[in-house]
Amino acid sequence: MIHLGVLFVFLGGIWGSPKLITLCNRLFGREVISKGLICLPLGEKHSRVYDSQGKEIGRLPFDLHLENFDVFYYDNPSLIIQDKESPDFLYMVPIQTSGPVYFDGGIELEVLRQFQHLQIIFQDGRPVPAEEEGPPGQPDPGFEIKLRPPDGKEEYHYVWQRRAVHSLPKHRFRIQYQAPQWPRQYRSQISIWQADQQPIYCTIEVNRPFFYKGYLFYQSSWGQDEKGLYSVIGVVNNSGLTAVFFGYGLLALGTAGQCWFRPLLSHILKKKERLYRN
Amino acid sequence: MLIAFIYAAMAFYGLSAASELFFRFKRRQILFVFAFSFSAAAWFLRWVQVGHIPLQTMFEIFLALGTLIGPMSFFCRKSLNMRDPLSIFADGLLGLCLLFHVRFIFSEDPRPLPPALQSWLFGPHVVVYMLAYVLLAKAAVQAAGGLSVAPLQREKQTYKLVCLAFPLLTFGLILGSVWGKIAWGDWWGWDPKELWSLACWLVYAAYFHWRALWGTRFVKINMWMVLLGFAAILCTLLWVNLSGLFTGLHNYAG
Repeated sequence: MIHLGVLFVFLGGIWGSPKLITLCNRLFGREVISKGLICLPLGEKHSRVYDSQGKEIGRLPFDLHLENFDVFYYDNPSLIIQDKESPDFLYMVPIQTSGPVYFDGGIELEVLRQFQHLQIIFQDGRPVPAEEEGPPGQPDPGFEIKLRPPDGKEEYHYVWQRRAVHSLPKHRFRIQYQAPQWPRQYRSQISIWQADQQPIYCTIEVNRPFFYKGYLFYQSSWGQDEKGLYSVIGVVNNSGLTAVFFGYGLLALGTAGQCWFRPLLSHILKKKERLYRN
Repeated sequence: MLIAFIYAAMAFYGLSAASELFFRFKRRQILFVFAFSFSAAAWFLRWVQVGHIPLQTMFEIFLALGTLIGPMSFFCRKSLNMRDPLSIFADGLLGLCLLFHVRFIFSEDPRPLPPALQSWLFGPHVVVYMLAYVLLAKAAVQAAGGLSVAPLQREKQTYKLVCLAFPLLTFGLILGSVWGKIAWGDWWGWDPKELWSLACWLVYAAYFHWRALWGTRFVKINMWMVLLGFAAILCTLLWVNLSGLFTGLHNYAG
């Protein structure tokens, strides 16, 4: 049983191997994708599958549309505060808009407002922060922050999440946005579109893939470019998987039977035989 | 508190090993019970501290291994009748060594569970491997002892221990593979840890084939094969994660 299990695993592996799938595609003129990646920008719909080098390797018989993408973190975004006059003054505090935070020496920090698309405009010759309408799918979030040292000389800082830190020469402090460091989960909400059919909606997370028409879709990675967020969905053909898992079943049963149940049974039989003789 | 529990468990494991060497303590099982209790308490405290099953970092893995030594030693004494001084001494020493690493070598810093590890397969996959590793460490001790003293008797004990551990090793490999399919789309990823785990499995499979062929005719070769298997386990558990030579899907354990 153990050897048969190993054989099934081997055969399943060969049957699902990319080389055999490519060979079958050539021989039978079919277009089956063995393994690849689909890069889906938020709100876009397509069926193109790429290899890890970014080369297109084929198309799925249906389109994938990224409805929504979320990244969840264990930790909160933070602010790193430095005092240009005193290099020892370096703090990292989670961003909170509920009230001021106090540091050593009576320095007070308050996040006044959070913007989805922070722009600095001029009103009456003075720069002021404003929530502006940015290009669709390309928000430029930021914060307005007030810092007040004990001497009472207030400083207003504007910190963007996706831009390099800058600090005005007249400012005593320097504030930097620190993105959360510990991802908890990535979640893509996908819809599958096929001609003349109702779309199918599904959610793909790490460790929660989606099976559809012989393919497994899993959350591979994600990223952000000038166009905004994108999710990378892995696509794998499931050919040979049944044989592999059947082989695993045989292997598990075989090793348990051979190493555990057979010696146990022989031990029980011997014990019974001894009792019977006595 | 956690550190105090680890020190207490180390002390009791050390005492149980010393009781075999320097003084004969009749109720030495009680030492294992105390060692296990303190070690298990430390492990559960760690669970509360990190908020997930603590089997992610080397600190947590070795703490769990140290905890498992007690019940496995008890099980082998009762079920396999392994009451020889070498076995009991080695159990105590092994527990002490594992917890020494927990306290003085590995970082105690808790780490949040990355998305890939958030699966129901995480616990079973690691636990079956750890049970297998503890049993195979005991088998290696018997094999090493059998090279010089009572080879036939120790060879039989070694065989029984490998028989107990081998299906667990197989389950670990299968569970990992199924998990790989769910998380990364591949049931086999040619990852260094996967390859070394397969190497361990193959060494013990070769041992079974060899023993089925020759029985106890070449006892020392049987023993050396078990020791080779344990060397492969050490590579899988320590070298792959700690050497920095291998990059792969199991790097979060380092």
